[in-house]
Amino acid sequence: MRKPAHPLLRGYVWVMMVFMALPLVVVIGASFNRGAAIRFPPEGMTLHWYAEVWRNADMVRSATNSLLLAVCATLISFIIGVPAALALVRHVHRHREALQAFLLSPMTVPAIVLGIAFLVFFGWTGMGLSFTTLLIAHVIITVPYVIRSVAGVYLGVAVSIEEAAKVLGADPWQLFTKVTLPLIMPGVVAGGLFSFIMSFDNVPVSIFLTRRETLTLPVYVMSYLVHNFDPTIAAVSSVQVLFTTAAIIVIEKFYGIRRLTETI
Amino acid sequence: MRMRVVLALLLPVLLLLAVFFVVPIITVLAASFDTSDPQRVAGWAAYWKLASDTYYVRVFIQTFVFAIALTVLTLLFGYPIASFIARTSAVERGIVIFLVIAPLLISMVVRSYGWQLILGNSGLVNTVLAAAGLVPVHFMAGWTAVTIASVHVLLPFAVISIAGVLSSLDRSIEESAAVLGASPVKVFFLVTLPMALNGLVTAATFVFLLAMGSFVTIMMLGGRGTMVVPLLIYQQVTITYDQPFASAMAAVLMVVTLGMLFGQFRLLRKRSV
Repeated sequence: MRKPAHPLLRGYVWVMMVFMALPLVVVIGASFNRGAAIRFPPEGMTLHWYAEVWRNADMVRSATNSLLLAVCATLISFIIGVPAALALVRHVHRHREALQAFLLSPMTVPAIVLGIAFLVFFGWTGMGLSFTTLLIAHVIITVPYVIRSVAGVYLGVAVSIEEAAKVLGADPWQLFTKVTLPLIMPGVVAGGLFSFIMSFDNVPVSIFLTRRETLTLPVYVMSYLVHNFDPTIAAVSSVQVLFTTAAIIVIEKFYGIRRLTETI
Repeated sequence: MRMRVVLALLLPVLLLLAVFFVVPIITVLAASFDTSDPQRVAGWAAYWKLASDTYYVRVFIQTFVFAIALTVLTLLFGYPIASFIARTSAVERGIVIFLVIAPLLISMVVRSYGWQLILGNSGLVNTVLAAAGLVPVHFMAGWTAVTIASVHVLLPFAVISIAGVLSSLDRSIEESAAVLGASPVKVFFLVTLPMALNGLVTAATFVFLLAMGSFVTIMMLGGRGTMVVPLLIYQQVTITYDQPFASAMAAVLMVVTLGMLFGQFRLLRKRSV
């Protein structure tokens, strides 16, 4: 049995939890505000601003762009990142540290530097700014998260388990789908989650690479707030909070949110 | 045969990083030496301007001090939460982790906007203060609002990585120390901290790197006095269209950041030997 937490520690943690939740509560509250000026607490209830979000074609499109971008970036990161992580842990012996440092190196460059580097690069090569180039940039940002989480979990998996499967006659595909993949699943979920967040929330890179058709939600919201100050943003943000909560509940249901801290 | 399989597994990601990460980084270095436009400060002149102009020197120093201060603050605030996660009941742990992770999934822009509603001149805090008959406080456009919002942004990353470190520690060593008569303070400083140090430094690095590269909170909550290098780079590109000078700033930011990382790496090496 572990020693239970000190009441003072528990008190501190719950104060901090209020701090963590506060901006979200305020944004949700402001989204129902009747007045056009943003107020918290709200002056009266309305769903007007939610309808306003739906009517704003640019906002809806930027939200779809962001979602599509984050999903694609995460999927590509899985496809190229998971095999690399597996090879790194099991098959690379010489220069493993150097290789690992290289694979994770996009994480060590300040995000804004990556942003301007992509801008200059896509300009010079004539690739221009499109959804594809934006996606490439996002994959560079997200793939290290997948590699790090998967390699971290795979390092703790005993070689003997896979060897036993091989001895019992599993072919490489069976070995991967029936043995390795279930074992590394915690790393895949954690890496995928981080990858999605890092893409969906990215501003320092997206802000240089988006055009009107490829605008992402955070970039759109930022530019919107420069000229407008009405609760539409609060409404679209509340929708995002709703989706996020749903996503977390799904992860919790099928996987257990607690296990995330064991893998990141 | 085995060599070929390994290569096949690694090649896609290596190629991608070589073409779309290494080359762009080199291009940005090259772009800082693009002297084709005589109107722009470029090449060594740009680097000299960064090193000699007191404004740029001040912004660079400010950026590093702010990132380091944020890292320290976030670790100090986050450590107790992580240690609570490690020792509380399963139900409470689930709720706390949910509350820590949830803000992470909501755009940084939205969270900064939430802080505008709370800390603004007619925001929540000042409404409460006015109702209580107190003098309003001016948080915005200064370091106070920026620091509060940045800690809020970085705290989840710190808590998650520290909780990961703490859950991997062998708790029986702490218990033995306590049984042998060490006070909780002694256990923390002489047993837990040394065991967790490498992991804590990794967490600190992670937070520091995130703090160095982003400018969203500062752009939305800061003012004239809170300029940092990432925001300056952004303005050089989008407002003054001075790509060579912005590239020079990006190069310096990158080199100094990597220098600090390397120093930290050396420090870790020494400790683990």
